[in-house]
Order: sequence, then C-alpha cells, then structure tokens
Amino acid sequence: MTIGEGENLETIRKKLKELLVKNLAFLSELDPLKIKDDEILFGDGLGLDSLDAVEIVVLLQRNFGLDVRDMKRGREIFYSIDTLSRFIYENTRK
Amino acid sequence: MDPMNIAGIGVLCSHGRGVARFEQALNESRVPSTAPASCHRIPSEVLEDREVLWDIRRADRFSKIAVLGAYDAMRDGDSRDGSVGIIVCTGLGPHATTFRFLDDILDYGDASVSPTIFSHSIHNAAASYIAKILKCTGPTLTVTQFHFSFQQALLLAGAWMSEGRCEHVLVGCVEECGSVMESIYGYKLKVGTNSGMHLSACGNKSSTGLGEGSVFFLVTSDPARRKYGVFSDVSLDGEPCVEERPDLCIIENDDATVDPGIPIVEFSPIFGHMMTGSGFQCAAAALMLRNQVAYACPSSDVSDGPNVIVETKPMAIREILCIKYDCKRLRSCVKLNK
Amino acid sequence: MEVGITGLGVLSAAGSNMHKTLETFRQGKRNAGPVTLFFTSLSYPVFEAKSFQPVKDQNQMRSLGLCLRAVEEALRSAGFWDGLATRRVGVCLGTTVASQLNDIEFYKTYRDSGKVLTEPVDRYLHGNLAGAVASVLKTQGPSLTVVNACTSGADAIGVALSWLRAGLCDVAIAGGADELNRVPLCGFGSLGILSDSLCAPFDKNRNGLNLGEGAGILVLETEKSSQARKKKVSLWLRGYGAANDAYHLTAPAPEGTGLEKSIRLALSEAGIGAQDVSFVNAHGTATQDNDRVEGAVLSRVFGKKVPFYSTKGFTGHTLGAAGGLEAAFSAAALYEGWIPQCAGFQTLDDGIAIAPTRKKTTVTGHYAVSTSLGFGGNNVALVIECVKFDGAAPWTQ
Repeated sequence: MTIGEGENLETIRKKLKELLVKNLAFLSELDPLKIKDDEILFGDGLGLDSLDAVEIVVLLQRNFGLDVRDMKRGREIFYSIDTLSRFIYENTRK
Repeated sequence: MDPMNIAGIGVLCSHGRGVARFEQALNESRVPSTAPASCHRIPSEVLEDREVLWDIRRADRFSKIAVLGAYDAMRDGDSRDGSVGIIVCTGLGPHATTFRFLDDILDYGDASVSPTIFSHSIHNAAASYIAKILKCTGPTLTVTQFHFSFQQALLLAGAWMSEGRCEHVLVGCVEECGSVMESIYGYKLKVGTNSGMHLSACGNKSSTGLGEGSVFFLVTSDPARRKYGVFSDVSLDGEPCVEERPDLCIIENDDATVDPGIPIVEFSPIFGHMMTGSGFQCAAAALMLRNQVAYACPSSDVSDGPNVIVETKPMAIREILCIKYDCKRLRSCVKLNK
Repeated sequence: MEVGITGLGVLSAAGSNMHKTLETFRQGKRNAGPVTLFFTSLSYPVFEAKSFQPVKDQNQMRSLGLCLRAVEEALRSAGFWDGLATRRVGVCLGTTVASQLNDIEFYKTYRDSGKVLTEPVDRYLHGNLAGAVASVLKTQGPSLTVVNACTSGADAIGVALSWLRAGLCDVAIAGGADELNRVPLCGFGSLGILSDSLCAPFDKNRNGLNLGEGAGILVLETEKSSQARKKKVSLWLRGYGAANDAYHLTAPAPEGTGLEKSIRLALSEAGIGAQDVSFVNAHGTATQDNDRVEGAVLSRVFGKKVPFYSTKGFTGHTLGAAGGLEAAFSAAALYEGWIPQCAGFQTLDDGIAIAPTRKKTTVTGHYAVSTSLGFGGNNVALVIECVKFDGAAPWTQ
C-alpha cells in the first residue's frame, strides 16, 4: 500500500483501518468501515496487545516506509486510529 | 514406573477431531487415498472451533492442532484442574511457520520481519496456548526428539507423578505437515534413504504419506479415573518391557521380530507417518483395551505374515505392547494394560 | 533422594570455561561487539563466544559444538571424561536454534528452484541436541531436548532432577546450548526488545537485551553414585519449581504470578524459606517487562535486601543456554563466596524499587536461587546448596 502525494487524512484513515483488519488476527472479523475514527487501539478499545503493537511497527515500515522504534513515542502515536493516521499523514507528506 | 491411568484422550488427524472419529477410522481401516509422498492433511474446517480458539485466533495452524487435542483430552477426562502438568512433544515443531518467517527475512529483509510469525515459530508457542486456554499454571514443557519423543515424554510424566510434582499430566504429541517437509519426505522416499525420518509400517509402507495431527492423554495416578486403561511401563533401553506375554503388539517398524504367536498390528497408514506417531499408536491401543476389539492392520494382506491382524474383531485384550525401533535399532516399548 | 552437582562446564562471551569466566566477572569485562558470524543488516551489539574455535563442520552445527565443549569441561571436572560407559547416564539439554530447520540457504534454494539440499536437512535430522550429545558420548539412558524457549536450560536441569529421583539414571548431563543465529536475531529485533547499546539489567534506563551464545552444563549425580566412586560433593541441586503464567504468548504476567509460584515451589522442594537464600541469580534480560516483573517478585518473595544480579551483561541473552549457564554461575558463586556486579546497572528504577549488585560482593550462606523466565509464560526457579569441602570444586581450578 502506498500513500500518494496529497492523499488526505481521510484516505489514510481508511487505508489504515483496512490494513489493520487485514493483518491483525484480533480484528479479522471487523468491518473496516465500522471502526470509528477515534477508536482506541489497545485495551478497552479494539483490544490490541503488545504483540500487535510491534506488528503495527512492521506494517508501518512495509507499507509507509515509516520507522517507529522508540516505543515510548509509539505509545502516543499508537493511541488511536486518529493519532496513528495523523502520524502517517504528517510523515508521508512531501 | 508407577501406573499412569488414562483419564482422557483428545485426538485430531486427517479423519477429523475426537475419539469417535479416530475410532471409526480404526474400525473401518480407513486409509486416505493420497499419493505416497503427500500429506494426510487435516481439513481446515476441523480446525474451526470458535468457542475454544476465539481467544487465540492469532495462533498458527500448528498451535491450533495442538490446542484442540489438548482441550479435548481435558474435557474427555472431565478435568478443569489448573495444576495439571503439560508435556508437549513434537518431532518437527512448527516448521511451516519457521519457513514463513524465513520468507519474511528473504522478502522484507532482517529489519522488517513479522514479530507475530516469529513468535509462533518458537517450539513452545503451542504449549503456551494450551496453558492459556486450559488455565493451567503447572509445569509446561515442550520437548523434542526425533525417534522417541513420546516415549520420553511419558517417562517424564511418570517421574513427575511419582515425585509428587503433579497429580495429573496432560501429555501428548503434535505434528504439522507443511509443503517443504512434504518435499523433503518425497525426496527421501525417492533416494531410498530414511535417515532420520524413519519410515515405518507393517503393510505397504511406501503408500503411506506424511501425517499431521495431535493426540493428548490426560494421565493420573488416581485409578478411579481410569477410562481407557493404563500406561504401566515404558522402556527405552532395548530391554523387553515385560516378561509376560502381551495379547497384542503394535509394531511401528515392519522389520521387527516378535514371537510369531502374538498378533501384531500397526496403524500409521490411517493417520500418516509422524515422528511422534507412537502417540497415535498408543491411542489406538487404549481404544482396543477399552473396546476389547482388535482393529485390523490397514492396507495389509496375508503376505505380511501369519500373525498380522487382517480383520477387525472382538478380542479379550489385557495387555498391549507398542514397540518402535530407531535408525540405530534401539528399541522402545510402551506397555498398556486394561 | 539427594542429587549432587559434581561437574560444571560453561562457555560464552564471558569465557571459554568456568575459570576464565570468573576472571571476566572479577574484572567486569563485557565482551560484546557487532555480529561477525553471519551477514545481517541489523547493527545490534551481540555477545559472540569468540574463544570457540569450531572444528570440522561445527560451525554448521554451532550449538552442538558449543554444547560439546561445555560438556567436556563438565565431565572432566566431574572426573567422568573417560568413565561414563558403565553408568546409566541421562542427557537433557535445552535449546532454541538447534531444534529448528532454519537454514536460510536451504530454504532459499527450495523456494527458488524446488530443490531440496540434503546436507542441511541431514544436519538438522542428526542435530537434535540431546540425541547428538548422547550419541557422541555413547550414553545409555534417557535423552531429551527441551524446547521451552528462554527457560529451556533451566527446565532441562529440572527434568534431569526428576529422572534421577525416579531412578531412570544415576548421572545426568543437563543444561543448555544455543548459538547466535540470524533468525532469532531478526525475530527479537522485530519484537522491539533488542538494545542498540550494551544491555543494562534492572536499570531505570534499560532499553532491551543483547543476544549472546554459549552453553552451560551441569553434571548431576545421585548421592549413591558419587559415594560409590568416593567423589566429594560440595554442591547440591535442592529444588526445581516450574509454573506457567497462562497469560500471554510473549509478555510475562504483569504481577509475576507464575514466577512467584515457581520460586515458592522450588524453595518448598528444597525445604527452606526465602530468608535462607544467600543470593539470587536473576534472569534480568534488561527488557522493560522482564525486569519490572522480576524485580517486583524478588522484592516480594525475598525482601528488599536480598543480593541479586543478572549475568546477561556479561554473556548477553543466550536463550536456551541461559538457564544452564546461570545455574552453573550460581553454583560457582556459592562455592566461591562472591557474586559479580550486575554489569550494566547504574540507576535505580523507582518502578522496581530494589537494586542489584553494583560491584563484586561477598556472600555468605548456603543457598542460591537461579530464576529463568521465558516466552510462552514459562517461569523456572532452581535452588542450589553449597556445603563446602576443600578439594571438591566442581570445575577445574
């Protein structure tokens, strides 16, 4: 999945939801369209866990060329669909 | 060794899931029609169980095969005891997942591989899921040995029970058949060397493909919970298990010699060759003891020898020996009694 | 039944035998560097066993080579190098790498052309660690390879203890071995738990582990067997406790319930209380989760003043070998009467609240505990006792 120049936040959110549903077994039965934009990824939100967190690191790397190795920072970035989409949006803009 | 009473069995193979399915396959001598080097694969719908697997839906196929067998053995033994010890033995482990991880390294490079796939390529991922699903907090071991994994695991289960480490042990085998292993097996058959993979069968061995599946036994020191008979001895030192005469022998190698008066049988054509196939043979033995039926040797004919059981029939069975040799002709022997 | 530890053998980046390893501990030397054993794009520091010079094809079966070297030291120190043939000897070894057919060249060839390279396959099929060692030593007795991830070595020692008590053998070679290998390096990297710098167990600023390699072997023997050959025994394996968290595939239970249970089981098996323990050789990988959970449990079980340390700062995390190496280190430390500094530790973490040793520390008392935590929720504790006799050091001085 690539993000073209000028893709807006909305498109990124949609692609991100599809990406997560496709790759994370815990979300596999969800309809990406029904995931809320402000949905929290971990714990009481979508219920993802620490192994999913490192899997998302790899998904970001492979799909957006983004490196998030610092998991302390990752915690803020990975908070919700929204925060993660914004991170991708801001870091893939030329 | 103190006797280990079999309180529950869980078994999963290409014929499906559960003791009844396995029993039916033995009863009907059902040999899957697969090419010699191919795998007796478990149909994917057999591995679908929302209730049991929902919490571990991230698990790979190897782990699911293991978990369902273990879960069924506990349920069959009517146990919810969280202090049960777990011993999982495997010859080849989750190799299909290991190869998927190597795919990741080759396709994406060292720095961009999947941690989920890596985690499942570790041998004890399956045992971890079993402990989680069954809420077992006792000792949990995964062990591997290419020839006598199951026999060694049984010995250890016996040792754990006799030293009071555990009252009950869930001990079993699991193997998965992936395409790479299928190719290796095919190659080994072609060049006629069975080094390490140890082909075995009475009957037409070259017609038996690789197998996959899991079989678990819930064993306990409590004779009141005996449902299928008892593991009464395991020997690995080449010495015969017993002085007395068994009613029946399961011989995993077709070149083994036994007293010609003792009926012999072997079931690997039904579930396929597995390094830990002895676990499945022992499950068949346990069923023969419970049902007092001798199951016919699949794909056998009279030319296999006068004492091969060619027809399924009722039989008074008190004692069965399961005998297996490794490549160096070291002999193992598991004794089961009624 | 009493089970003695009559021989020890170790090999890691910290030294090619116990004597040299103790010297490394004394000097506080940390022999880490970049990966030289194979090509990788990853630049994490690792602890390679540079002193290990493989003979013949040992580099292809490096875990086995490392293991055999440590087994030799252990058997020599036990006085058994030439004398195993007449005994019932069990071999129980833990590993991770040696259990997998993870040869990248083999797989790439297969994937590209469908061709099966037989050499790596045969190497794998003949390389089951315990089976191969038993075959080299021609032992007659149970043999089993434990593949319990990072607790494998400690579990293998526990299995051997059960065998000896059950009378399945009189002597057991137990411990673990693992080589540094590209596949787990990539895997641990992907889990985000490798440190870019030298690891700092229990430190406030710890940021992950360094991988290492090596082998740690104990020769265990029933008292009857050692008495029969008039072998003086100073060290005894008194307890093995194992418990599963039943919680998560990769993360430890946050409260450390399994670890606490394993320690209490091991203490109870040894018939001692927490107050009898002289020191703890902790697992201490220097990951956030491990050290937080382990520190909390050690403090809860042993109180805030118990001397403890991790040797991972000297050896790296040697995976399947770690439990074997650390049991051997604990035994040697008890015998020597001192424990090393927890290499890499500087700053107390408020979240852990107890601090490991900052320098080489004298210890008194008879009992040590070695803990191991692993992937898959496994927790193991071993209790070792030392009743010192002169001339009974279980390693070559």
